[in-house]
Amino acid sequence: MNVSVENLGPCKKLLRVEVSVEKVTKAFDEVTSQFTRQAQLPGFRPGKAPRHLVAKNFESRIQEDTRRRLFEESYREAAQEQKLRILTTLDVEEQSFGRGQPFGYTVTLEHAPEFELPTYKGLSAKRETAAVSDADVDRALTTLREQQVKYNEVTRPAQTGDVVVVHYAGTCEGKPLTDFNPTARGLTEKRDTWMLIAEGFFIPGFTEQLVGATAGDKRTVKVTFPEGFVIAELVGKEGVYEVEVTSVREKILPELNDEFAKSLGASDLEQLRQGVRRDLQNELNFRAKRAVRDQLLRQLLEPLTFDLPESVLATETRNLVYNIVNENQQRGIAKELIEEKKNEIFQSAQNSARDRVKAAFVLNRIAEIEKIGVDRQEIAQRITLLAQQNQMAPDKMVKVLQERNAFPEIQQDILTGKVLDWLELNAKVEEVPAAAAPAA
Amino acid sequence: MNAYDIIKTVRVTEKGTLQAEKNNQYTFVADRRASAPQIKRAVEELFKVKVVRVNTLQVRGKARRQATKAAGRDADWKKAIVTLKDGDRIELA
Repeated sequence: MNVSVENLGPCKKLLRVEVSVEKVTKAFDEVTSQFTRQAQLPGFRPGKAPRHLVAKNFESRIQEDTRRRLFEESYREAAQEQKLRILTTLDVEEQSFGRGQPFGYTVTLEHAPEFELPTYKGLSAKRETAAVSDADVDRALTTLREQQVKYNEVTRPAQTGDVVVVHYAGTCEGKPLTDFNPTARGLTEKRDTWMLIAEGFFIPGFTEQLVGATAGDKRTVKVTFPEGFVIAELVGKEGVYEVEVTSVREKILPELNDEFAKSLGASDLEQLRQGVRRDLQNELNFRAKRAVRDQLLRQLLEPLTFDLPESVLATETRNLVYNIVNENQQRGIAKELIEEKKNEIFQSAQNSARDRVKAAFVLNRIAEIEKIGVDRQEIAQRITLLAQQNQMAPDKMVKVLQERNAFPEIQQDILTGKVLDWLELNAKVEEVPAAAAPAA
Repeated sequence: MNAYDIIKTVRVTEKGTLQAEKNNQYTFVADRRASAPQIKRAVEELFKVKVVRVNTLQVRGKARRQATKAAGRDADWKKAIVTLKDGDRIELA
C-alpha cells in the first residue's frame, strides 16, 4: 500500500492511497467466493453455481463490495500509518479501480488536532469556602415572604412603600401626550393602575408627590421628563398629570411563623429554615465547584494553541447559535431584534465554540490516556434524569433523543464531567475563604 | 432449417455443468423436428467446434396450474446432449 499526505489547511489533509494489484485481486477473489457460497441462479441449487457463472452474473455487486471493502481496510490502515485521528471524511475521489488494476483514490479529510498534552496532574486551584450565614437565610426568607405579599386597603394617608391605585391623565404644554408620540398611550391615560410609592417608580418624581393622599383624593402632579426617557420627544419637557387616587393599599408581608412554613410545604419554621439553608449551601457548593473547574480548565487550555478542524467548529457554532436564538425566542424577544443582532450572536457563538471544541479535544485526550470511559449505566442514569426534568417516561425520552441523535452529545457531556472530576481529584485545590458573601 | 432455428438455447444447469467438466458434453434445447445429424451440423456451424456424438430426447412439458385459469402445460421440447471432440470448448452464457 502506498500512502502520501498533503496539507490542505488547519487539520485538513489530502490523503492519496494506492492499493497494489495483488491486494485488489485477492479481495476480488474473496468477495467472489462469498457470493458463490450463497448465489442463487436458475438451474442450480443455492450455492452450487459454478464460480465463473457467479462472477459473470453478479459482477456489479461484486465490484461494489470489493471496492467498499478495500476502501475501508486501506483507509483505516492508512490513517493508522500516518497517525491521523480522522474526524470527518469530506470527500473521496476514486482514481482507478477494477480487476487487475491497482485501487487508487484520494480522500479529503479532517483529523483531530495534534498537540502536546501539558501536565494535567496536580494543577492548582482555589476553592472558595463559604458558609451560609444566618443573614443569608433571613434574606432568602424575606424573598419568600415577598412572594406571598398581600395588599390591604387602608384609610390612612399613603406613605412611602404603600401602593396606590389611581386613574391618571397626563398632558404636556396643554396637549395630550399622544400628540407628541402616538405610542405614548399608556403614559397618557390609564385607569385603575397600581403604583408603588418608591423612588424612581414610573416617571421620576411622580409617586413621591402622592405621599399623604387618601382614597378619593385628586391631585395634580407635575413632572419633568428626564434625560434618556423612552419617548425622546418628551425629554426635558414638563408633564402635568391629573391623578385621582381610588384606594391606598398597605403592603403586608406574611408573618414568619409555622403557618407560613406550612404554606411552603415545610412542617414548621425550623424545618423551613433548615431547608432554605441547605438549598443555599448546595448552591454555594455548586458554584464553588464550577469555579474550581473553570480555573482548572483555564490552566489547562491557556498555554495550548493548536489548529481546530473547521467542520467541527462550524457544527458547534451552528448549535450554539441555534441555542441562543431559541432561548431568546422563548424569552419573547422579537424576531427582528434577533435578526438585527445576527452578527453579534454569530460572533460570540464562534468564540465560545472555539473554546468548547478545544476543551473537548484536550479532555478527550486525557480521558484516553487515563482510561476514563462512559458505560451504558451512566448514560441510562443521565437519560432517566433528563426524563424526570422533562416529565416524560424514560423510554419516551430515549426515543426523542434518538430522533435528535443526541446520544453522542450526552456521552460527551458525561465524559467531560468525569474528566473534570478526575482533574479536580488530581489537582492541588487550596481552600480559601470567600472574598465576598454572594447574594442569596 | 437454419442453424439458428435448430438450436434454440443452451441449457445452463448443475447437471449440465458436471457433464461438461467430465465428458465435454453440452446440453441444448433444440427444435422438436430436428434430427441428431441436423443438430450436429448446426452446433458445428454456430460454435466452430467438432461434434463427436449427439444424443437427443423428447421432454414432455410440465403441467402448470393457476387458481384462476384453466390448467395447461409447458410446451414439449427436445433436449440434445452434444459431445465435443477432446480439446474443443464452448464458453457458456
